[in-house]
Amino acid sequence: MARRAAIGGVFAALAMIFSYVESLIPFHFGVPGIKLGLANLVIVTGLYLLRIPDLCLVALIRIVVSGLLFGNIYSLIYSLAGGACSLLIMLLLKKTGKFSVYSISIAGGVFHNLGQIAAAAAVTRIPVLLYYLPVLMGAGMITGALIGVIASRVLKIFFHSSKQFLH
Amino acid sequence: MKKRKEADPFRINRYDIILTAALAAAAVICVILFAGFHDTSEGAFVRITVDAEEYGIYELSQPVQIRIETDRGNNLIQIRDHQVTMLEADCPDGYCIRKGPISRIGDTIVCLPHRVVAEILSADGHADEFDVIAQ
Ligand SMILES: [Zn+2]
Repeated sequence: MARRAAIGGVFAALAMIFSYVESLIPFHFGVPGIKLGLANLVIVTGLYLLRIPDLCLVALIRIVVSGLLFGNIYSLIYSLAGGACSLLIMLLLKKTGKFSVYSISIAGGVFHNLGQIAAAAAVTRIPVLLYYLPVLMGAGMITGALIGVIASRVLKIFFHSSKQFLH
Repeated sequence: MKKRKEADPFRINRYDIILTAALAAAAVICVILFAGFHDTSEGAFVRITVDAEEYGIYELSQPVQIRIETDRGNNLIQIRDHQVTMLEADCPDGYCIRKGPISRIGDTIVCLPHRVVAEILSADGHADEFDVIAQ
């Protein structure tokens, strides 16, 4: 139990660092409040290393804390929607046992952005935000693929060196 | 650990390809739906919306500066040379300013923090909803 909490804490801390790095990168889609989703790397990795409730908790802590530190109430709402969509689709895809980490991560990236833009359009009642859908889906695929590749490297190291470390 | 035969998480398989292709196809369909069906020639009017309420519709041929002051913040929109530009904005991100000038039908400048939207409209098709503000 203590070990689970410690590992969950490490993941949450790592995710927060990525959120911070992300807040420093002047990258934007031209859609305010929409973020790149670098912190998803920790979630994708956690998909294979953490139990589902722990992973959900890590995702929630990461979004709420980084939202309060580096954003505002609106970017927090958008991030929560994006994070929830992304996590849900990745858990479902992983559960089927048919997909590799790469396509799971790509789908996670796409749904992260879909969730964010849908929340932003709903909260602000600015339907023209949906014009950004294709750009955001494309960007989600690219960041998702990148995160998938990095996550696979990280996971291979983990599986190789410390199978007994977890659980 | 493996009860059923699960896919190797580090090897791309055919399900990955199907899923990725489906996502790419969905993005392409969105592009076609949003861009393919409407005319993208030069517009004639700009509709400004503030917090989901129509603020006004202006002619692109009439140079004007529109100052919008709400409790969310201030924006200054300029119409000049048939182009619409967000000239000034005190929003935290400044994306609306960086968007640069717009002039084609369907183009938008969105200042999300202030909920200010400028959208280019065509000369016809929107005629009856026009409430053109005279200079
Ligand atoms: Zn702005």
